Amino acid sequence: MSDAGGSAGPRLPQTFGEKLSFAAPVLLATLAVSVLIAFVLVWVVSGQIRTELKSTKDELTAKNDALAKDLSEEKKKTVDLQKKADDLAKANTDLAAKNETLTGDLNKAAIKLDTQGKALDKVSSTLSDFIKGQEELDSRQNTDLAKHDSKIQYIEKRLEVLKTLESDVNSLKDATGELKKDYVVLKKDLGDVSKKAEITDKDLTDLTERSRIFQLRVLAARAKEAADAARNNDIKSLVQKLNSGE
Amino acid sequence: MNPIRTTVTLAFAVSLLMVAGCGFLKKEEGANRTILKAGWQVSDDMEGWVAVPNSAPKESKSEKGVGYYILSTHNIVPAKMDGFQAFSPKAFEKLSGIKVAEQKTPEGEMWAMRPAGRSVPKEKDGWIGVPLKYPKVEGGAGAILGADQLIPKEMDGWVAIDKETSAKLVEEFTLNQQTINKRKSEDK
Repeated sequence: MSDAGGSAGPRLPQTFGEKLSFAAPVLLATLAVSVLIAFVLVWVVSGQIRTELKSTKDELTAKNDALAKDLSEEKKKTVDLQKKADDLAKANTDLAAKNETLTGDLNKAAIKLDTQGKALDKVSSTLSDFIKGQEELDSRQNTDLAKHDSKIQYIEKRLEVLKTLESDVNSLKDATGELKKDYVVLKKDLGDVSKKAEITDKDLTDLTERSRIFQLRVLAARAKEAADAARNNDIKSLVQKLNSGE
Repeated sequence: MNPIRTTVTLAFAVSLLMVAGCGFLKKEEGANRTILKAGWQVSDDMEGWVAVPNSAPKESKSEKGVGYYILSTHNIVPAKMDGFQAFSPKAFEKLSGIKVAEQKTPEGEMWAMRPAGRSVPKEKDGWIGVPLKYPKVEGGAGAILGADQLIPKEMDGWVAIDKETSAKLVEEFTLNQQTINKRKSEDK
């Protein structure tokens, strides 16, 4: 009778199977929650990793592009340098060729100059010989004719001076009768003496004195006439005289 | 007839005539020029003359004692310089060896004395009126001056000398030149 009354509360699982059946829902729920949390954690971490990886990738791509660009520029520069080097090489070749030509021309010119120099020396030498011969000839002639010629030349010079005075004497207006007469006489005397075979020093001295005195007389007569013209207000002839610097 | 009244009338008439007579410019005695007086009138025989400020050539003397006059534009040749010879500075230097300073006289005013009867303005008082006659220039370098002639602008700075001075200078000049020429011909 007491066993029947004492079993009124919930009945506890007695066996392992019962116990497992009793705890299964809780265990399953816990497992599900754990899996969910693990999934969330993995998802978050993987997202971060992806982001970082993407960023790294972008960075590397940019660097790669920059490097490619630099490389391209360097290649271009290399090409330009190569072109310039080619040009310089060509120019160098041309210059070398020209230099060779000039050297050839210079050698030719030097040869010609040498030839001409020799020819010039020859001409110079011939000319010197000729001048020397001429001087010797002149010297001989001068020695032979010196005395007589010098006297005749002197008289001729006097005659020339007289000739220049002729127009002056003839152009004088006043008191020229005597001067004209003296002029004719002096000219005649000079001519006569120059024809003489033997001209003495006395002849020369006399003629020189007479010529000088005559020149002075003409000079004074002209000056007097000019002064008279000025006194008579002959301004026209005076201005002409000044303008001509007579 | 009142003798006092007649005398007064006659005196007035005579003084009126005298004033009227003095109102016309008169030539200087023995010269062909007149001195202008303010308010006086140009007479018939001066019509066409010109008047310029009273100025005369400046007298000068060289170190060698050669006396000469420097002419300026609108100088009037005074009677004492009648017949003088004028030379350009260059010609005079050649003739005498005297170098005169260059002159640049500004061209002054000339007052035309026409028509007859024209009154002399106050500011022209003391000016000299002369016929418009210039010396005749020969060869661009010389001229003979006449009394009362007017010196033109192109003769500004010219030198005037009397005949005797000119004769002496010309004689020296001719002697010097001929001596130089003679030496030159002898050198040849």
